[in-house]
Amino acid sequence: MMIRSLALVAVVVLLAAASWLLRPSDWAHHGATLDPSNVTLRPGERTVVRLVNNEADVVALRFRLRFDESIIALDTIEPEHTSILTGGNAINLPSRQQPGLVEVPGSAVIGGRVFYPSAPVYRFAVRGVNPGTTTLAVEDLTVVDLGDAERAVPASPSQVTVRDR
Amino acid sequence: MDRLATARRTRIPRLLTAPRAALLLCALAVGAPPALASLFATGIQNGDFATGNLLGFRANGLRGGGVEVVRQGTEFSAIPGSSEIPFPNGPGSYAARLRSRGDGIAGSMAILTTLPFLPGLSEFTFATFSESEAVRLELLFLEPAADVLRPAAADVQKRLMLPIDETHTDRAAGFKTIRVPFPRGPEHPVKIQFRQESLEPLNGYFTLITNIRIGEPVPLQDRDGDSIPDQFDNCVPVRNPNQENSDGDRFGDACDNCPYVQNNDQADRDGDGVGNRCAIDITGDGFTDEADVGVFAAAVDGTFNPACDFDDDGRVDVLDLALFARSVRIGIASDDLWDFTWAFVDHSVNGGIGLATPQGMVVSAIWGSDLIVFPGRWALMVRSDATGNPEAEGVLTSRPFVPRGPRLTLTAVSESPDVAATVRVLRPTRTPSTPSPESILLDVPLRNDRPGTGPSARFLGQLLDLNPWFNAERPLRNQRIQVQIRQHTTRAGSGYFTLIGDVRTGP
Repeated sequence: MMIRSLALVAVVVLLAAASWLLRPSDWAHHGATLDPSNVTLRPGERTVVRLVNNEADVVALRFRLRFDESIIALDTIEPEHTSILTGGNAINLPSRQQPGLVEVPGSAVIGGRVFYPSAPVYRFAVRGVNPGTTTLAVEDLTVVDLGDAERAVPASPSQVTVRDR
Repeated sequence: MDRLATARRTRIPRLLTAPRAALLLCALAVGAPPALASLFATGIQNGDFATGNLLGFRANGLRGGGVEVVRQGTEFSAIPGSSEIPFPNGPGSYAARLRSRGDGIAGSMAILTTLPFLPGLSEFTFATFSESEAVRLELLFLEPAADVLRPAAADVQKRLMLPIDETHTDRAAGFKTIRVPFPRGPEHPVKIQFRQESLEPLNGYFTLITNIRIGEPVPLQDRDGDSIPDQFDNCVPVRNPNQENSDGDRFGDACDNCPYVQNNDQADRDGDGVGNRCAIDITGDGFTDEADVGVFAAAVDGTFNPACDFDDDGRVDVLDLALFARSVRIGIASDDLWDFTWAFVDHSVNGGIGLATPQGMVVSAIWGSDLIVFPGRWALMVRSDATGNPEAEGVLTSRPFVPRGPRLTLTAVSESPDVAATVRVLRPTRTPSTPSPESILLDVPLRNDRPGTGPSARFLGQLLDLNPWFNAERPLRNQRIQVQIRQHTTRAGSGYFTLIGDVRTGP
């Protein structure tokens, strides 16, 4: 009886330890990701790549997106949260574009809301231009959280290959 | 470093969190034990903790908070510098340290309580120092038989929020001596209790208390005549007996130039009465719309505009955008967890309660409240105190917002027919607990034709017409409003609740 009780206690302790080790904060992603991480296109073909935020309690963010403009073009850059000017819940500052570089100076959700973790925040229409491979890379991704703390977070890139059939 | 410090100071407390809800509900469930008629010692023993321990006191904690006696010259905080803090009684003297735990869980509270005593004189003094402004320090006067952790409302003689002024963890730290009258006079036995809670769950701050002494009576100043002595009044020049403070900073709503955004500096560069932190009408035309967003975008693009520098750091960047966006509130749709916990503020009076509760929680002593099926995962709840005191009114007020459409809809269910619940539409007001008649645009009784609890309880829909105040052509140019839910019990002796399952404005 005593051994059975001890075994039961041991099982409970092990289960508690396992659940603590596997609590969501440990296995959740951090930073941001470009999704999908690998894209293959033909010249002239288009696909959508999304920037997914994995951080909690983010109320605002800014970033730059760099790529080789001789291989791909970005036709549109659109926030997932629509602007208050069109009935949505976000303030999206206009992006600035140069060859091979897009700068998004800021996007924020209003009224104390947050960008939900693991949800896309921006989508980019990527078009193949010439054969080759380029990295679509997010640079200088900075987020502001509910506590008004501003911090840089990493973002994993997307590899884009353009090939003739 | 400055940015970090600013961020820590300005974190907005979540006023309607589940832990707080649980605490309040537990307090409701506890009845008031009968008053003890025995004799008590006169005066406070060991108020300077000279024995080096908590003799004469009881130390308690909730969610990891705790109390211990610390000595000047020793390090007793994770933040360096605590050994340099000068105590009022000099080197080697003692103080009680109330410490909240900083493990990310809200509601960690340290509780220090005296044994019951007879005051003998009409007031007492104590010296206190807090490590950070991000603590809530309360002083409670309790009946001798009151439960220390969760005193019943009838056992609380008085409850005061103590001011936190200067905060340093070094030799510049200064204890402040505070004088307080005994609310029931020198002949009524009492227990004094201090409660400290960190407002930043990730940071476990401390407060030191010593020299708790009963002294000679000195008249307290109350310049605005609201019966709150100046030293405790969150708005000294304006009469505000309810002490509404929607954002939890040091300034009551009646004096606060940003009542819903913490701004202890009250900075107001253009002197228009609206603090820099919440001055979202950048163009000064009375609205926040396309023009303001355009001016802000230009400021980020390189044309510095001080009106867009919400954090006063000399540049306009993504942090300013975050602060700008936070104060912009358009529409309300309280099926969203964020609207439940951020959009509404508890302005209850006389022991009433207003909070957000998830489905499945027991919120009443009457069977079945945990079985009520909500329209969404959460609901708002307003209720009187457990005794059904008709003056105890649960009040929830939304932060000011621009409506999304000409209709306000909500669903509600009351536990009993013996409640009076109303929904109000207000112009933004500085006194939400008791809005002036001019502030009340609409005041409509909530439907209560099918009261009940348990799985058969049904939320009933209700619609309010906002057309008189709504401009469909320029929705962003609509007048900001506040939605308020109020409820009190009409039959003394029993406290009941009303749940509001969904509040939204739309077409």
